[in-house]
Amino acid sequence: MSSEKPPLFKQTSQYRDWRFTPESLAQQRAANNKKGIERVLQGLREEAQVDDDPSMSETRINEAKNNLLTPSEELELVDYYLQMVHVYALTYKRNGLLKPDAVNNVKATAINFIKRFYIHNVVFDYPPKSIMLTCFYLATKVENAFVKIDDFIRPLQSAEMKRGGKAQTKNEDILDLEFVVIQSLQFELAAHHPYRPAYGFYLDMQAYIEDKGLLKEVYEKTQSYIDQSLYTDLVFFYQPSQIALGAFKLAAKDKDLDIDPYLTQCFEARLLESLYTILDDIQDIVSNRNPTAVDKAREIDRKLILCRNPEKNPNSKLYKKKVADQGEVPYQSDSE
Amino acid sequence: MTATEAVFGEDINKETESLYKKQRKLGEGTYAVVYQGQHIKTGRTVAIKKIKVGNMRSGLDMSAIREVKALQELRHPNVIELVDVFSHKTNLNLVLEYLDTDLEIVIKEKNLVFMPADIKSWMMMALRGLDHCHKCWLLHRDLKPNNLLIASDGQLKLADFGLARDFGDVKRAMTSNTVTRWYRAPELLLGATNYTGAIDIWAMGCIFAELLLRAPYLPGDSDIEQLTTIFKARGTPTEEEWPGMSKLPAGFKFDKYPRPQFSDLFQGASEDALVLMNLMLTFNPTNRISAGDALRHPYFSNMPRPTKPAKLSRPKKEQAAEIAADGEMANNEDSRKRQFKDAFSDDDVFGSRPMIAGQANNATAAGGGGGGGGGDGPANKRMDMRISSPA
Repeated sequence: MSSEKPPLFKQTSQYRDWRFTPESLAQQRAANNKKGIERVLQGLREEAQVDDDPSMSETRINEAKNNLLTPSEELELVDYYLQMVHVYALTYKRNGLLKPDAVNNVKATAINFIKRFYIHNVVFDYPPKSIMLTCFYLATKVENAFVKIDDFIRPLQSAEMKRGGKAQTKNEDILDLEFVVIQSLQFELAAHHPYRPAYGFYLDMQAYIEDKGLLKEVYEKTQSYIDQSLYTDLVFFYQPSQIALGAFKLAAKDKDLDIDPYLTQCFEARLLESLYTILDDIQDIVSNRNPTAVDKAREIDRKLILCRNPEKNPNSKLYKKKVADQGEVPYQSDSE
Repeated sequence: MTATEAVFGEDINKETESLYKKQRKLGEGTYAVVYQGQHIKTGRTVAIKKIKVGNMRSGLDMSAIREVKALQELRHPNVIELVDVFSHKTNLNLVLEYLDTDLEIVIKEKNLVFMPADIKSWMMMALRGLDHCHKCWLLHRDLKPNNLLIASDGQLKLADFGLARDFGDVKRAMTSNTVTRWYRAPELLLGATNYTGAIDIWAMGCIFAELLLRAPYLPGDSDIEQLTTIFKARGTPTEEEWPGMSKLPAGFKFDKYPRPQFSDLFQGASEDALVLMNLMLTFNPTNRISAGDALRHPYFSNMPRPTKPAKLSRPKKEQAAEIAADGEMANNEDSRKRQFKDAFSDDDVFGSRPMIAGQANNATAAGGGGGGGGGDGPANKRMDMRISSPA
C-alpha cells in the first residue's frame, strides 16, 4: 500500500509535534498575532525611552497602531515569500548549485520550515524575507544538498545588482538567523513530503490501471498539484501519503482517469469512506488556494516597516542599545 | 476550553535550557565539549554535548545537522536517546542520555572474559537498534565498536549519528567516502554511490568478528590496502558471486585470494555464529542479510540464550575511566580542523568522519590502552560522542 506505514509515520517528529486541526492552527496564529502586537507596542515604548525626542516616539507608536497586521495579513505576506522559495530554487538549479534531483526536496523542506517557523513566531519580530533565505539555506543542509554560504549569496547579490542597486545581502544576514530558525523548529529537521508516497502510488497503480500512458500523464500532473499543496496548510492536517493521494485524484480528474478501482481494491469499504472525506478536503484546499499577489505583498510589507518590533530589528535604536549594553557585561562562557 | 497561548521559539528554547545544569566537563575537542549534566527537577543524569558553531564559516555544521535530524526521529531502546536540544548564543547543546562505557573499551579490556551468550546479547541489541534505523530509512554510516555505547543497565545503544542520512531514493548519489575504514563495506571501497543498509550490516559483521576475536578483523593500513585485507581474509569474490562488482567505479581486477577456512581463525565460535557472520559479510550487497533477517536467524533462537543485559560483563569503573580519560586526552586538534575543512568541501557533504579513518591506523593494532598521547587512535574520534565517566 502506501510507502508511509502509519505506525512509522507516527514516530516522526512531524507527526509528534507539527499536527494541527484547522481550528487549533487558526487559534495559535491568532494568539501569536495578539501577543506579537503587545510586544511591538512594548518595544516601541522601550525605544521611546532610548530616543532623544519623545514626541517623535509618540508618532511612531501611533503609526504602528494604525498599521498593525492582522493574522491573515501575516499569512498572506508569508505566502508570498513561500512562492519566492520556488523562484530561488529555480535560480540555484540554473546555476548548478542545486542538483535537479534535490530541487523538490529542498524546496518542499524550505517551505515547510517557513510554515513551521511562523507557528512559533510573528512577522513583526522576524519579517519573512530574511527568514525565507535562512530556511532555504538550512534546507539545503538538511536535504544533503549543501551549498557553501559564499556560493549561496552570490546569486542573491547579482540579482540585487541587476535591479540597479548594490549587492546588499551578506553571509551574516543568513547565518545570524540560523539559530533563531532552528530553535523555532524545535530542532526538528526531518520533513516528509508527498513526492515519495506519490511515486509509490504510481508504481502500485500500474497493477490496476490498464492505460499506462495515461497513468504516466496523471502522475506527472500529480507532481504539480503536490507543488501547489506545499503552499497550503495541509502538511499540518494530513499525512504526506494522504496529500499525495489527494493530488493524484485531482490530476486524474483533469485527465479523465478513474483511479477509484485502485482504491476500492486496496482499502476496505469502511476505511475508504473516511479516506474519501480526507481526499475531498485535500482536493478542496489545493484547488482553492489563492496565492498572494506581488502588489498585495508589497502593501503589507510597507505596513510592516511601520509595525516591526524594534527589539528584534537590528537597525533599531533599541536593538543597538541592547547590544551595546550587553557588550559592557564581560562575556561569560557557559562552559564552566 | 483553555485559551490558546502564543508560544514563541526563543521562549521554548530558554525554558528548555533552564531545565538542565552542567556539572562537570567530561572532555573537550575543537568540535564539541561534553559535560555531565543534570535535569534539575528530576535529578536525571544526562550528557550535554555542546557543539561550537560560532566559528564555522558556513554556519551550523553538517554533522551537527545530521545528528540532530536523525536522533529526533529515532526512539528505540538500542539507540542513544536525544533527551532535549537547546541553543545558547551560537552553541548547539544536545542533551543525551548518559552512557558510561562503549563496546571498544569492553573488547579491549583483557581482564573481561566473554561467553558466547554475551556476544549474542551485544549483537542482538546492536542489530535491533540498526533494524530500527533502517526501518526509518536511516543509514548510520559509521558503525564501529566505539560508537556502540553501553548503559549502566547493560543496554547497548547505537550512537554518533554525525554521518547518518536518509536513503532509499535511488536517483540520488551518496558519497562512498564514509564509514571508518576497517568497517567499510567493499562496495564503498569500490566507489559505489548508490548503496543501502547493507553497508551498515557489513560493519556489524566486522564488529561480530571483532567480538569473537577480541581484535579488529579487517585492519587495513590504507584505503587501497583495505580491499586486499578483505580479500585475503574472505577470498576474492568471483564475478558470479558478485555480479556488477567490476562495473563499480573502482572495480578493476584484483589478485585472487582463496577463501580460507573461517573455523580456523574463529576457533571456539559456534557453527551458527559463523553462518550468520558470513551472511553479514557477504560480498554482494544485494545478497547480504538485512538487520531484520539477521535477528530472525537461528543463531539468536538457538542455545545458549543471549545474556541478560544487566548480567553482561563490563569493565570495572576505574578501568573504564582510565581508558576513557586517555581517549579524551588523545583528541587531535589538527585532524579535527582538517575534517571541518573537508566537511564543507565535498559535494554531498558527508560530514567530517572519513578523515578519521585515515588516522585510525595504528590504534587498535597497538592494542590495549586507548589512544595514548599521540592522538592517533580511534580514541581521538571518541570524544565528541563519548560520554564516559572519567575519575
